[in-house]
Amino acid sequence: MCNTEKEPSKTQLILEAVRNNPGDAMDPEIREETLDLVIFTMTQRYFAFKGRDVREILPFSPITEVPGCPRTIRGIINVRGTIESVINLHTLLEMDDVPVSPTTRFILGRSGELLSGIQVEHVADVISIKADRIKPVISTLPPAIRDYAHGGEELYKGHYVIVLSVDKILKKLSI
Amino acid sequence: MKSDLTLLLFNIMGIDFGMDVAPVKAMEHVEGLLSAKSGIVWFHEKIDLPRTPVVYDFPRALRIETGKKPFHLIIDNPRDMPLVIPIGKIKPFPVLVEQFLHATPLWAIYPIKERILLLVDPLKMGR
Repeated sequence: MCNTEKEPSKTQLILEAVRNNPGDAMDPEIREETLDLVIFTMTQRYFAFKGRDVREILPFSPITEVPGCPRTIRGIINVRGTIESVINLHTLLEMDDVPVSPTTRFILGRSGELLSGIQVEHVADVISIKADRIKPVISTLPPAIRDYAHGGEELYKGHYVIVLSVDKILKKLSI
Repeated sequence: MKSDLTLLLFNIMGIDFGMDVAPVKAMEHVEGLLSAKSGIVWFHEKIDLPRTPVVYDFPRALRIETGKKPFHLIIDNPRDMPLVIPIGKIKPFPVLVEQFLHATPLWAIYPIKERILLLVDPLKMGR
């Protein structure tokens, strides 16, 4: 018997399958998304922000308090002529505040149009990891930290690092 | 509209403030006013300062006439010389801060080198 319809070849079948699901055909090394993290410490805990949510890291400069703001806002700073707010992350995460030291930094975080300084005790490093290394946060974390956490894992020198969401922090402080 | 603004500068509890001098008609010593039963506004009654108790080191009373009932506003540490600033250099508060200030007399910022002046609207200081 003669079949008038030509059957697709093996290579055509493979190509069609690849077109329908291009991700499966990619090199696994290329497919794995990498993520930059800005690692910082607060009262001996390790935290991180995603690098794409950080515009820059600034040295400490005097903060002008603004009457009428809640304790979660420390005040405002002058960043090369632009005025930015400074968030009190200690208060937001319900941690004891610590005095300013030579390692104190402002991390300028952004979420969409919103931008604000976030005061941290010490910026330890900027690292690059595979995105899938970040796991859901451990359940034993204090609720005030879990509310702003994106995930966590032992990511830096054997320390458990809590990856905080700049977006959640800025949205929480926007009325 | 004028392109500059003349500010009276003062400092309370370590925070620098600036206020348009136009409605300020006189600066007086406080002692003679304290027995008055009305028409006196202490600055901290209108601006919720972050630290208490509020201490005035060198209080002075500003006689303010705004078109409504005149009143005396008591401030601290006024500078002798007013400061003329270009209006174009005045900046709004950052979004996260501004949202908390709608009901207060604070309306903008003027950066001077390392310092930041908080600008106060005298028309919102009366009772």
